[in-house]
Amino acid sequence: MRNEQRTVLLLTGGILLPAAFFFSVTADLPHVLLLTLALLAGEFWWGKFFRPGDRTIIYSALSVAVLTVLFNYLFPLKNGRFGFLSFFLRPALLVPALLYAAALAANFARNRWRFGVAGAAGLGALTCGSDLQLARIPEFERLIGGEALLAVFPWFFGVSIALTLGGFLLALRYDRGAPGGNWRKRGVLALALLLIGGLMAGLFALYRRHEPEIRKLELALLRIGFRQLLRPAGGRTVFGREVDLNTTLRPEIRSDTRRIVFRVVGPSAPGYLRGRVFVRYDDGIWRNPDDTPRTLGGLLGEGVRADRYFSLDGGESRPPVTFEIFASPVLQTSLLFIPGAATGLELIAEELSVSPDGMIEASEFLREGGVSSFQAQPGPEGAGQLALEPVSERYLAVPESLRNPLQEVAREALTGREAADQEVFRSFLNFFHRRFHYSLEPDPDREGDPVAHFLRRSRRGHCELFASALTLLLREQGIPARYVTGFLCEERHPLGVYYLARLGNAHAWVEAYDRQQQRWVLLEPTPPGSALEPASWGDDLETWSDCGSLWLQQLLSDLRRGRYAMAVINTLRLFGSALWTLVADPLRGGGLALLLVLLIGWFRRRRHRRRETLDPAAEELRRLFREYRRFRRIRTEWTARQLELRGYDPEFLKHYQELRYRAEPPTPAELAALTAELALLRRQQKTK
Amino acid sequence: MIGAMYKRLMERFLDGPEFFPLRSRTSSPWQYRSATLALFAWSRGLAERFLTPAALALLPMTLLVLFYGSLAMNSPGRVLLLVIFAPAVVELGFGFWFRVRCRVRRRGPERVRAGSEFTLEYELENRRRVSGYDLECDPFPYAEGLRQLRPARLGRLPGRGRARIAGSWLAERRGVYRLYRPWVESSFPLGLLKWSCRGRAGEGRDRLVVYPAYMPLTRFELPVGRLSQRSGLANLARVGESPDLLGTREYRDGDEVRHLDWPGSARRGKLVVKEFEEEHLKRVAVLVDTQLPPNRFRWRSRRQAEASLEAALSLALAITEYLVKTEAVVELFAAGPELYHLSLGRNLSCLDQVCDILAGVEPTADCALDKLAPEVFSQLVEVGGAVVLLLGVDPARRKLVERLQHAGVAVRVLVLSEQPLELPEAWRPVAPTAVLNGAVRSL
Repeated sequence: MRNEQRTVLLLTGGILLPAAFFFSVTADLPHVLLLTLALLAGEFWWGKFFRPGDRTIIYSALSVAVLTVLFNYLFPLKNGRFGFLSFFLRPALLVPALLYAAALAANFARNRWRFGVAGAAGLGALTCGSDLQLARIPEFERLIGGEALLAVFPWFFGVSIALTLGGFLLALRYDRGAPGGNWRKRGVLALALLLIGGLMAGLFALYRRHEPEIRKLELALLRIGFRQLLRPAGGRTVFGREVDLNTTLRPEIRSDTRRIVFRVVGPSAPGYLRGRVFVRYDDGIWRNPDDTPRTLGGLLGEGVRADRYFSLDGGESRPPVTFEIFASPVLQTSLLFIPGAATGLELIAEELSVSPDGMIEASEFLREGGVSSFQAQPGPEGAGQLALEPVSERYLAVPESLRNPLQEVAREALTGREAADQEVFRSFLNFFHRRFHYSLEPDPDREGDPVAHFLRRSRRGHCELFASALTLLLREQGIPARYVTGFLCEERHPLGVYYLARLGNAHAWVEAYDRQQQRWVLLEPTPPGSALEPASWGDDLETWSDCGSLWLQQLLSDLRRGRYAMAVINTLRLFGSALWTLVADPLRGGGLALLLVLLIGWFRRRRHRRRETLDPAAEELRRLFREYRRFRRIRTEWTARQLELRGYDPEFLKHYQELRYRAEPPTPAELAALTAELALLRRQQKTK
Repeated sequence: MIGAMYKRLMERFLDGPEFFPLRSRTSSPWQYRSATLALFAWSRGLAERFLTPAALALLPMTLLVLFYGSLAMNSPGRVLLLVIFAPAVVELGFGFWFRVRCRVRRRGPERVRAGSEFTLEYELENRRRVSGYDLECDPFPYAEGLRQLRPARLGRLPGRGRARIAGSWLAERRGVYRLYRPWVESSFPLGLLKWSCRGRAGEGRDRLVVYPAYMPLTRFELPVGRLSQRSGLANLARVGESPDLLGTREYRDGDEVRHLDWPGSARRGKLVVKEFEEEHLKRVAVLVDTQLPPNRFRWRSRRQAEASLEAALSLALAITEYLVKTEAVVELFAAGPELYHLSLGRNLSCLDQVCDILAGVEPTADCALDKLAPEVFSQLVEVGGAVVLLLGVDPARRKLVERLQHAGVAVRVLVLSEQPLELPEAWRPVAPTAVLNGAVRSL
């Protein structure tokens, strides 16, 4: 039995260890190999199989889980080490778990699956470990000599595959092969192995020779496949790198305006979430010049924190007002949508790129971690203050073809008595709010420049036209202005726990530089009442379901960022708020209270034991018996008769039973006699 | 007709594959068989028919690698597709060439004792010219109570050749087991894909009875009943078939003419008949309680309860054997799921039948003794004493014992339970583990 066990472990090691070594090198996680080896060695030393049972299985599964999570926590996998596959899987968790599980599974008695599981673990390790970007050999922090092996990666990979496959086939022979057979059988086996090797080499050579054609075919198939995959899912970006006023809103977005794209937890509604900023306008299209953004490095959180704090204004302390912003996966962009007044950000990203106009993109951004935005004061109308030179030409450029129409409209809008920029802003805003109408419908009669048509003829349009018109009008007056797109987040969740922005809340507005106050201000030219109507939350289920979505996003964010205490606090806070909302309603609260009272009453009735109404003498007998059991240290619930049969003090027990079970209750004298008998037993016990 | 065919097909579907049987209708207390479970059984059965456990374990990872390889075009991991593809092709090709086609017959014992090892022999005859390699007979488990100790394997069966191999099993649990048709498979050369063939139905042993293991008793106190023993009175004298001559008496109308004692009649001058002593037969009833609580949610308590039942059956067999050896006539009553009544001793039956019956007894959720009572009380005229083996104590059981006692039957009650119970006087507790360990030799 011992020999069989050790043979099995050696064969399993032959499958697992080459793959574990390969993964340890490519992932720079030497502990994976060491732990796999340690588990196998431990079982080798143990010398016998585990008996399959609930305990052994549960303990093994727990050991795998603890080892995997603990060592991943101590030695995490560096981001960006692996490529595409890590998007779907978590190689740092999956591969070690498979390897440890296979190592433990091999030592279970009568386990027909052991070698298959080991083979699967080895294959998984090779697959995940090979998903490297070989153009740049990654750095090694833990494993010495890793670079040398990766420098000869094809050989390293090939040898690992060969050893793992060879070990697997050998193990299968041991498991399935029957004794007996002659040279013919061995010959057939050898031929099969040779054919495998030959086939692999031949197919590999064939693939390399026709690789371009094969890839073309695959790409064509992939394109078809992805188109089908992505179409219904709606993974689309709302804001591209250009805004074309000549086109209307895409139908699939118009039909899906209710979809929630942001949930924001904060002291008040965050208001305008600033996304892209555009400065150049030509023929109905807003574009941006090719600016070089400045890179902002962040301060990594302490301890287990995985996020970084980025100060946007160079300040060292964090402003007091925080908004926690959670984006929906429907927004596939690395652009950050944050309140304009934000001066600090905290998120899981390597670095931020800040454009001269204050657009912020994050690299290696983990969306699930959410974004914390910090600002000095709450307020919905913060304009981004990050700009290189406010009075730069980039913010004053107006196309020549629009100068005349703009001057015409400006003469209409302004009184001529505006002394300060603030008054100019007010005049223009009043002009738009009184003389223009909001509409999403395209104008079939439009011709020429959309802004000119909007200003002169139709005076009806959507927010992009309003914002574009105001921007150009202000520039024509010599006031620096820029066109900003983002989301309007003012809708409060019925439970009051957070605010949300929907797809239909996508919006465009203007930021203008007040030369007197020397600051950027946010201007809203779109008439009031044009925003998306607040959602009518259909029923409680929808309300609570969305609350649950927020809780999940928040929990995931806290866990990913290492804010474990906050995860607990936020969970309790959210549930507390939700519970308070539930009970604060008189009808619901009253109903719940009544239900609770009924439940408690029912529960107590169920647990209530019917006690026999014994007379005092019988109670006294029961008490004596309990004392006897304590004295003899009898823990099992045996009756007096059972104890008597088992030889415990038969005289005393017989006497007790006579008194206890007869019809007439015992007299005080009889009770006293029994008590004395018990005392005698105690004395006898002591003298022994 | 279509309805009948559909019903048959559905029954067959719900039975599950031959080598992956689901519980039969009669054994389920709820008379319901799950189609979902049957679908799972068939899926698993089909998978296990063509793929070895190693291949099945590799399957999910293989699919992952295929998915990954189809998308990550620049990754070196695509080579792993070849690592999967090449052995699969070789396995398929070689496996098909050397696939097994043979006639197989199986021989083995008809009944074995629980806990004992037994051997099954297989005769193989290769119907192809190509040799078969790495053959294994009956690779799937028969049932939960039969564990394979040594598989029946053969390294090589020459083309058109014959061979005989044997495998050994351990009968862990009592029961009547139906063995699936003899099965031979080979996963040569790599051990990933299986090729198999089956023997014909009826060729060889397909049923195995595993009777309860028991330890013979050295002493057992019989219950003494007033029906069979009348102290102070002579045994009843009756003209009968007994060989023991008691004496002679005058002939009376109605006596058998063939019992006339002619010499005596000649001596006396009047007709005299021989008188034989009525055999004093000890008739003891053995009642086995099979009622177990249908507590399906508490697995551990169910296991303990089943152990009690096994101990009860084992003890019943031991008591029956003891009584038969002491020349008593034993009336064995057991219920579950059918009602069993067997008379034993004095050439009335043999112990093998008892083994077969007790092997097939199943626990019931209903009160088994209620089913037994009519049959038992109809036989009471002949029975002097009764041994009642109970699995618990409840009002119904107490009532049965009291009825027996009121009917004048001397009753000895043995209660098999690990839990401590409050028992009436004269009821004796017996630990099931002690019975199953063979520690109970005297009662």
